[in-house]
Amino acid sequence: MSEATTQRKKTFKTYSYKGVSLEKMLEMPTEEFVKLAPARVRRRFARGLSSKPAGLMKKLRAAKLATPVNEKPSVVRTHLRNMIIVPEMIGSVVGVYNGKVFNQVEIKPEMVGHYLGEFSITYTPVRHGRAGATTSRFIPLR
Amino acid sequence: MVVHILGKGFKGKEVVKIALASKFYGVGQKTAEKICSKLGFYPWMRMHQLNEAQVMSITTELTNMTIEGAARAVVKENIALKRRIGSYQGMRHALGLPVRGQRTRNNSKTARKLNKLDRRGYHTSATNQPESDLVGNLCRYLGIWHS
Repeated sequence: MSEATTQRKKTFKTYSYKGVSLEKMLEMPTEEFVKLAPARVRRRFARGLSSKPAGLMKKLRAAKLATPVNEKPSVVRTHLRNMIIVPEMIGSVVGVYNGKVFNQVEIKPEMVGHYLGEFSITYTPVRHGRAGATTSRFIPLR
Repeated sequence: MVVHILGKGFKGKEVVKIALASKFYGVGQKTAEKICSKLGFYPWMRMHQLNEAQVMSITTELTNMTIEGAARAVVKENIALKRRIGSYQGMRHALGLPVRGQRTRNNSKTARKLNKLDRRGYHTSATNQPESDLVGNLCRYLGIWHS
């Protein structure tokens, strides 16, 4: 039991995706990564991307190259919420459009295989019993 | 006649594979069947027909698997990961709402009950926990319904 927990902690610190360590994943070309990915991602890449994401990737690469050491790259804005995060994008900062504003998302290794849109919420979560204040207005009268 | 496996009591008349599946979190019908066939029990063997050695073999089999607390921890960790990376699914878990795009106009009772960051387990949790835990769980239930 204790062995298992220590092992888990180790894997937590050095993140690995399906048995592939982070360092290897960073060097991995997208084609290699797709082979590891779940069916949804494989299908997407098998059917081919349009030319749209190429522009984003180009900008991301440029942003990464332009950054000084130990600093975050500049934000790359995009509307491509349906873009799947590939290992190449790790570390870059993307502004993901939610229909109104660009939400800044720093791509972490764990995010690989998810869609960009998952990290930029499109609505304001409902809050009940606060905004109306109809009941709270009567409390001081009491 | 009661048979004890990993601190859980089983009535003698219970069918082994069904009993295992219903008492242990992380053991379903399939896994229970697999265990039974691996140990060479015939499919409808009942608890009272097991001898000491066979009970021990079930115990060793189960201790080598991720069940109960460990299995729950796996689920919790998966949810925590989603939350940590700030994904939509993680947020829906935190809000206690359906995660996979179901409607929330009405119902979504299951989600309200289960979708938590600190998710509680399914059926086996309430019946088999020690009493103090049971009281705690009860309070949590009440808390949910009061709020």
